Amino acid sequence: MDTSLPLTRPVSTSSNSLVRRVREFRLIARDPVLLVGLLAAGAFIFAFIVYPLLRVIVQGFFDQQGQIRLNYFARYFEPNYARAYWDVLAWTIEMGVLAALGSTLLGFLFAYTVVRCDIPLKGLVHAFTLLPTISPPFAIALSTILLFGRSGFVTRDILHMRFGPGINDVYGLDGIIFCQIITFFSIAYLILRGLLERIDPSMEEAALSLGASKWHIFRTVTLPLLTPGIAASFLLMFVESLADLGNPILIGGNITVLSTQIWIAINGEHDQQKGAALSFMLLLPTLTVFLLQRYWVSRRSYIAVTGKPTSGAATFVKEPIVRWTFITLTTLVLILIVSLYATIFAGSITKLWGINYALDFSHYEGVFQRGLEAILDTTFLSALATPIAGIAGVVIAFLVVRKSFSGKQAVDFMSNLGGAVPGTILGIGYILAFIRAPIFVVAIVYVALAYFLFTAATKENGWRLLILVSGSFFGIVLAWLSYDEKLRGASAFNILNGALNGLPTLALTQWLWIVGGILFALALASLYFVSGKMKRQAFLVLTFMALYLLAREWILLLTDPLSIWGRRLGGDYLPGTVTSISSWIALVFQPPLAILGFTYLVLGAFLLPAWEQRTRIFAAILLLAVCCALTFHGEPLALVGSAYIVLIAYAVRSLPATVRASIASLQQIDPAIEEASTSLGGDAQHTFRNITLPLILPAFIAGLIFSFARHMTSLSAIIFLTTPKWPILTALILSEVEQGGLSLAAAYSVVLIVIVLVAIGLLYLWAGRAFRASAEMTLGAG
Amino acid sequence: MKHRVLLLMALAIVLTLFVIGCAAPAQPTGTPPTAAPQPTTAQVMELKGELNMLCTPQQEWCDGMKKEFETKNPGVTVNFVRLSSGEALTRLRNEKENPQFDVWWGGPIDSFIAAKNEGLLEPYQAKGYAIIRDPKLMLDPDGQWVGIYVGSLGFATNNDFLKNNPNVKPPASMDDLLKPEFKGQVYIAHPATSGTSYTFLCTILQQKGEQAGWDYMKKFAQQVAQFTKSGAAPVQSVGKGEGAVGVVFSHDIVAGIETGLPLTLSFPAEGTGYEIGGMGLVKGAKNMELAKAWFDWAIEPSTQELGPKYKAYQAPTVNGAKASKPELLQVKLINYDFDYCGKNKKAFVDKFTNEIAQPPQ
Repeated sequence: MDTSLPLTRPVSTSSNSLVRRVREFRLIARDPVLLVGLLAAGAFIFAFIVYPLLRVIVQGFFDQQGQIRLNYFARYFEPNYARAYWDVLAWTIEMGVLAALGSTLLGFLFAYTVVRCDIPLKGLVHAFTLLPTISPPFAIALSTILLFGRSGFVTRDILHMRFGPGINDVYGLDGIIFCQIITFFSIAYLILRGLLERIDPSMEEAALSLGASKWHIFRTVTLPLLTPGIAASFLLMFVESLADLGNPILIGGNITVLSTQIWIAINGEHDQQKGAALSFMLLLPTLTVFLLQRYWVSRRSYIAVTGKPTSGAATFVKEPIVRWTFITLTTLVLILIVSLYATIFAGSITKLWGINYALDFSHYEGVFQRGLEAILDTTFLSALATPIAGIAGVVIAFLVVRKSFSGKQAVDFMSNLGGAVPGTILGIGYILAFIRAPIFVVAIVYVALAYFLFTAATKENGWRLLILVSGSFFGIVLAWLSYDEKLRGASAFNILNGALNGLPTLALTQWLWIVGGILFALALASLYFVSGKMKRQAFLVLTFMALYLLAREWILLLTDPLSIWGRRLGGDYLPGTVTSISSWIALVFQPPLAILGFTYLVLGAFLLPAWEQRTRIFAAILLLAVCCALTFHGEPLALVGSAYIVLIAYAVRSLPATVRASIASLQQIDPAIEEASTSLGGDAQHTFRNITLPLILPAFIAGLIFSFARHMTSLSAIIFLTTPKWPILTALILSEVEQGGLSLAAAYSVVLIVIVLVAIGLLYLWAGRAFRASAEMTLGAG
Repeated sequence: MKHRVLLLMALAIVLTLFVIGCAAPAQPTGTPPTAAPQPTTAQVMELKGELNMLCTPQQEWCDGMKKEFETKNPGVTVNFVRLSSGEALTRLRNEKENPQFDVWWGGPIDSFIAAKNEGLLEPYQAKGYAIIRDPKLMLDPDGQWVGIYVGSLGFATNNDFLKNNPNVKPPASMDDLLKPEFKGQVYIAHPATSGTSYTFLCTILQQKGEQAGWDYMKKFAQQVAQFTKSGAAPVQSVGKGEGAVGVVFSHDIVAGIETGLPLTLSFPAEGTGYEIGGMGLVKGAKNMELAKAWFDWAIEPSTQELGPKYKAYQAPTVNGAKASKPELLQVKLINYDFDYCGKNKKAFVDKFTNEIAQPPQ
């Protein structure tokens, strides 16, 4: 059910285009799946990407009193500060350019060797190359210090180097660039490898048969075909390098780059405006490059993507000299990488690196005694955020590839933005945006979803208005019952205060019972008023909604005793594990009420069309009232300090990966398959679930794996959001690096890498079954 | 007919639910009635719930204290985040309107003075204030913070460096740090991120006066190999031989020596600066009851003697608690003016950042 839109109509005036937009939106509204997908994706992107970033940018221009002050930007021109500020900027750019250049080159070397040079043990090479994507951001810096630091194993114990004044050591810009190249080149490798595999060898064969030399072919055929990929990977590496915080902190020495300058401004100088202003400076090159990549590089693509690697075997470089040069170089770099990782492991089992190389497993004891909760909680949160990122990614990709609507480009662009901007900036934005309730955002999302509800209920504008107004009114009254004096006095509610002040303030339990009671009543009424197939479904869904709402209180009856019981258990590990599990259970049953309200709005809107005509309006009003009350209960979306902000930050950071993966595979599926399903009577939902989803599953799973790894290893966005209850492993490692010594940090890193590896294994096992299922389905369908 | 029966049933069920719902809050889950008080503990009432602690000393000590408190109060879970004093202050400021922490334990008191001036702390008159060793220095007049440990600045010199350079002696005065043999060999944290380093800066400015002090700092910066982020990090760097001398708190040096790092501890003969570690209740804390219990517990003499168990050798601040390494405070201390240092912190750190710690290139 593709909504074909009158896009070809010439647009002459702005009013004309407005009319067009409105008409277009009406068309979208006819397809409920498209509408809800669009609304949900739009709400998510707006609330958790656009709004926080805007808050950061604005913060940089205003001081705490709300006056416009550009003093931090002016510092670039004040004689006192200018030198230091420009130095930082220059180092940042130098770091970005060199790291991008180096990692792209290295990525190319590896890709070419693997695809064209027939390197032995290709699978193993591939696996080792991907190691950096699953290790914590500072792992390389850590092992570089252990090996090549001033008292490193190689520098001191093998080469017996002495570091006096003026001698170049590994700390500084060169050290950062080295670590970043090793850390990021595997992504360049993936990009270029994909491209190389897709280049049709027949082109090169044609050139060869016409008598061109190998070098000539490489220069005039292969390289031009690769240019877009090389440019894309260069720009991506540049952005990644600028956003990196872990490596510059550890190995930067006395070199400050923008990301560390921001970190020090916020955490050391307690100057949020300075941090925000510098964030803006960092955002500028990032955004420029990002736009360049999307609108320049992607347009200059010479390659007709055939969808699959070409069937003919790729030509291998025949000259043994070239081939063996590439293989030797690759092997040498691989040895370096492997030894860097081996060093981390060796460091973790060494008594005192650099002084006493005796075998000692006590660091792991320390890790599990002090970091057990962090390990468990980080793994849990990362795992929980993975499907969120996955589902959001598939929905956005589906909208972008299969549907057409204006603003599509914007949705695509924004969904990538959250992962592309430096994590530091996103983290600061989250603190600014979600420390208090962002009522403005909540209201916008609420109205957008309410629109979805009343369009599902009726087609008449009068009734729609009635539903919106009376539903919201009852909802506010209900929410009012939950407010204490402080909230009622808040400025946003001044108008209501006079009218509603007589209402009592209810305790949470009581209030939940009332709201849940309304849902129960609706569930029972649905038995009477919903007819046909949907009756059972409607009853079950409404009952579930009520029960889940009430469960947030009931669950305490389980988790409280559980954690108390757990703490009384003896031993080093049991109490922490049990209390962690108990807080996981509580977390799953206690989502922020505002998010619950949004979800219930969508669920309600899907139920309403089946409701009997005459009473449907009342059902809609009641549903809207319940959802409104939930949405505006307490301080909606004041998420800082809860685990949910960490979850969302994780999901937003890895969203680009899942979106990209899903888009790539969706583009390879001929829409005709889906159209066939539609023309045979399957609705959009059915088609998506039974046709599209199975086909994109492999890419989707790859996206999930990457997301999980990215969650586990993300540091810069999370470092500002950690809460006492939910310790995060990467932040803990960073704190241990400087305090407990490198061995402990190395042990933590090893544990983290092992967790990610195990998770990948499990996901592959599960995916293997899923693949088989989908293969069977394809056969069955045939 | 059937439908009407169903509807009546529905109504009946909803009504009962309402009755249950309204009756339920008789025992709200938030503060359940406490079980029979346990006669074995000294407390009248068993504490229950979660305490969120902001912890600034090293991870190991934070974790140890958490476990000690939980063992003493089995109904309480202590959650903590370890943040450096700068990060901690930022967090408290950010979360002023919606505090996530209940108590802030550890970290130099100039941060606590700053927090007090910004209205981030809650006044509290603890009984334990009576046994504070030196109330003039270690207790806020309004009871917003109290000192919980004391530590003096010292120099850590790498033994291998001394062995390889037999003519070099461990520095015995501030001016010794400027000697040519230590050029590019000194490790210290950056004052913007570390209270340790700020204590050094402020000690110099008080000993030498501001003019001569800044001149000294300029020369000193030439000697520094690297400004680390965390105050105790130079112990690791110098211990492993990355540099020759680290300027660190002496208790951190002792802890480093205990783990096997080859270090020699020395002090400036003309007098050294010191820190007082503080503790305060967070204003608007959500678990104030527990926070106060922690506060009281933390200034009990027996609690203050727990440090060495977790490699924390700071001296206690209350009478009746024995110092694990008394020699660390039996050196000449300057008359450190915490007020002066606290008030000027932003200005001094700014000056340092902009004029001195321009990376030497």
